[in-house]
Amino acid sequence: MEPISATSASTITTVELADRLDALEAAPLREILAGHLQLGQSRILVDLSKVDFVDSAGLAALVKNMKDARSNGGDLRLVRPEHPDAIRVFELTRFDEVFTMYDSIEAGLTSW
Amino acid sequence: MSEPLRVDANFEAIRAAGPWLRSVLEPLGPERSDALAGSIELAVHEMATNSIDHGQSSVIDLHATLTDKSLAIVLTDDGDPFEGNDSPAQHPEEPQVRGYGLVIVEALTESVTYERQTAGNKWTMRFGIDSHT
Repeated sequence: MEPISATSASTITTVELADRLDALEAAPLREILAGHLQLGQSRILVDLSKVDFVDSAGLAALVKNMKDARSNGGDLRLVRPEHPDAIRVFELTRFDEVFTMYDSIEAGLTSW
Repeated sequence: MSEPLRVDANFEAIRAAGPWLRSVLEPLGPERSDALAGSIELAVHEMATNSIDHGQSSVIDLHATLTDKSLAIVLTDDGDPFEGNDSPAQHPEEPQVRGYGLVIVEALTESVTYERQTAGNKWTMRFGIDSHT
């Protein structure tokens, strides 16, 4: 998976994704996020607003790196998916209560 | 009975389940089909992912039977036997990483049943299409 873009500003790294976050994309995403953590970038904002499908493998990639970020004193937060087929897996597993979610990148960057 | 779908058991090939499901649901009309397809695709996708991840299958077959009130999806594979539900307890304060597949399938279906066959597994998922929005 190649993220649309990954930028670091004000010590928050943003990673924008699009299309599907499923079992096929989960492994490369996990590596991308782990790479940011290895560089000491432990505050990561993942933009899911353009993602239209998430399964449990995609969710697991986010959860794994959220746990690692938190154990490093940071966090992995999300821009909420707009598509119902992308938010569904978060609601079914109640991980929508675990992740801090924002309505936009701007909201995440200003509210963190 | 719609045309069945056979795919190689890998994460790229199983993406064909989405378009196939939409063709299965086509008789319901575009509005109802769109409303139903996403949640049913997630359930089928999770079951297929389990088959690939845990069953080491090489091929997956999907059959669908649509009636006025329900949709039955039968997934068969040539993989190892399913060895029980290792689903995690759902405690958001202690997030687990994997093992949510069957939890998700059970939440999205009216029923899900499992049969071990001679050389593979058979899962039957029933969706009450009246109750989906």
